[in-house]
Amino acid sequence: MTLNKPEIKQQPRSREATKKSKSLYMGFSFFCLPSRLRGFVAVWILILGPALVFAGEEKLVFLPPQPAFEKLIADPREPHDGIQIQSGSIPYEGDIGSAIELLQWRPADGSLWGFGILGAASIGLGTADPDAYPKRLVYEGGVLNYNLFPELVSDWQLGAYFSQSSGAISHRLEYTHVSSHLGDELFDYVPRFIYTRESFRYTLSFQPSENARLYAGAGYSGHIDPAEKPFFLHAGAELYTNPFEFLFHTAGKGYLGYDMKLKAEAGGVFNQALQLGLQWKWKKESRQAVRLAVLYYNGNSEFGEFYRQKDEHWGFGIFFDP
Amino acid sequence: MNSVLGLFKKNSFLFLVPLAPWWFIVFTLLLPMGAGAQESWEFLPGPPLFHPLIADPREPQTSVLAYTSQTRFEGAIGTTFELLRYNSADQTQWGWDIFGSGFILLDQEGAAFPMRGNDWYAGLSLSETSGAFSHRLEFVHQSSHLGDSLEGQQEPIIYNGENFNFTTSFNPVPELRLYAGIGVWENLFPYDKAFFASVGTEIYSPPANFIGTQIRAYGAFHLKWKGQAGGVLNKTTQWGIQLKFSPEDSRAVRLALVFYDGNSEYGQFYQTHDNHWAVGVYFDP
Repeated sequence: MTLNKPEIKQQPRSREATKKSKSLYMGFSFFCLPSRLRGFVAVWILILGPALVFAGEEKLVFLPPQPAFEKLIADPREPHDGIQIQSGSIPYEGDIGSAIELLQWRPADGSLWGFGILGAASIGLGTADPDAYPKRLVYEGGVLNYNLFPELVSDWQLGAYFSQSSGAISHRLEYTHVSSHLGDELFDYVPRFIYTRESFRYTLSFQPSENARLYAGAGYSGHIDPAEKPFFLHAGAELYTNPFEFLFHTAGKGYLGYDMKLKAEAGGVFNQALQLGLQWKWKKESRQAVRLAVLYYNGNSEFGEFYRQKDEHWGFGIFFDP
Repeated sequence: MNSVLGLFKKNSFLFLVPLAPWWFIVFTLLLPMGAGAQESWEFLPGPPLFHPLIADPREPQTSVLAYTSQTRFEGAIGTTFELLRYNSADQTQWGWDIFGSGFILLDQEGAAFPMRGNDWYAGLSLSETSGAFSHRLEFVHQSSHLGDSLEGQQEPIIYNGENFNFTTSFNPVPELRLYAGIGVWENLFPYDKAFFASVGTEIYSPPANFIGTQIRAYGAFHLKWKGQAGGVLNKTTQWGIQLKFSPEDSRAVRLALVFYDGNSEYGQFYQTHDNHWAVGVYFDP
């Protein structure tokens, strides 16, 4: 199954028409609006205004089906949908998230420029243990009740990005707010602290073929709480086998993903994540995929409330790529 | 160990959650064998058959809401992923989905947004569409957790459970949708009455061209009755605009004014009355 890229519905505009549109902008008194409406109008001008001035071979697509910058599948904090069972102190992890490309500009030279938002949530769950948190054990109806999957921690992120791709090279500049929250199962055991980050991150990706992708980037946290050194570096690789026919004429690919982060925080942190698995699609050209992977992680925890703690684990994950 | 086994025994359907990926593989292996000439199967077909109920505050969604009547914010991240679709010879379609969502409730204290609560959902659903009718049967696990900003001020309760629910939707014209549903908690803690039901509607204006995109106004209403907490009637209304690139796209951005009245949808506060207005932006995948 292939996803068809929607064609833009606007007609090519003459120079006079463009000039008229611009004069409409100039004649509009933005500042006469009530203050609460100014932000609203500014957002819509930002999103839709450029559509008025594009002409010829250029296209501006609203909510395109695929982004200019493909997600980094081995980065544990890239917005994604997945479930993981793992060794270590957090035996279950669930992730929900996506990057939503709001606008994509396709100039005549074949490059793509994207602007979008991203949001993600990750939850770390413990194992049922009736001795873990006695205050929350409840006997009712002759049955001992406690959380089967107690919440240990949850991390949330929200951000926006600009991206560009041209041939084998793609770029992404993102701004992300991250907060981490101690799970209610640990309130009586672990001291909670405020963990937030507001970060800029730039990533350059090089994909010379369908079988390989390399990327590297750097970032800076403009706001960081608890106070820490704000710089970090990021690099990784994705390797794919050629597609092969899988169950019932579906398409499979073996893959290996490696991601490393070097952070100045917590005295210097080196986080490595490895995935070895199977990517499973309906047809080899489909976008939607399910991935089944064996995981290895070594470094400090990616969950903010535990960012000073060492974390080494193996796991198994199932990921859903929309 | 006996306690854990006892809990699984009591809540037999809880096994469905960790086993979901294996169902999926078995389902994929077995079902296509029966497909005849006129029938077809699709693996990972794209947007789900059953369109999301946009006014239901607990439908998987991606959104940000700012309360206008309180200094409070909500965020939601959610997705529904259709794993398999069966197109039968009689033009009906059947889908099998997995879904998950997370909801976060935040206060505001200056530039900080302390967390009050977070709720999580995961489940499986079977859906069917035929002409103007569509149906969905869901199995959902929910858990609710107190936000860390309330540590020491409020004791967290254990709030979790699994329910089955069924929804029928009627979409006679593109501008109107009516739906109704019923459900029962197979397991719910704190123990309470297990039944719940919902009805709702979505009404859309005819689309208009807006700078090369399609825009339409909409109003939606969702009413949910729950047996728990002595009987709860939660009402949600949304008025807003929906913006798409083209009519056939499922992807949309919606800007809406939201009104909610009832008991809180956040499990940790399910006995607390909640009445608020909000403005929200929704990103439909």
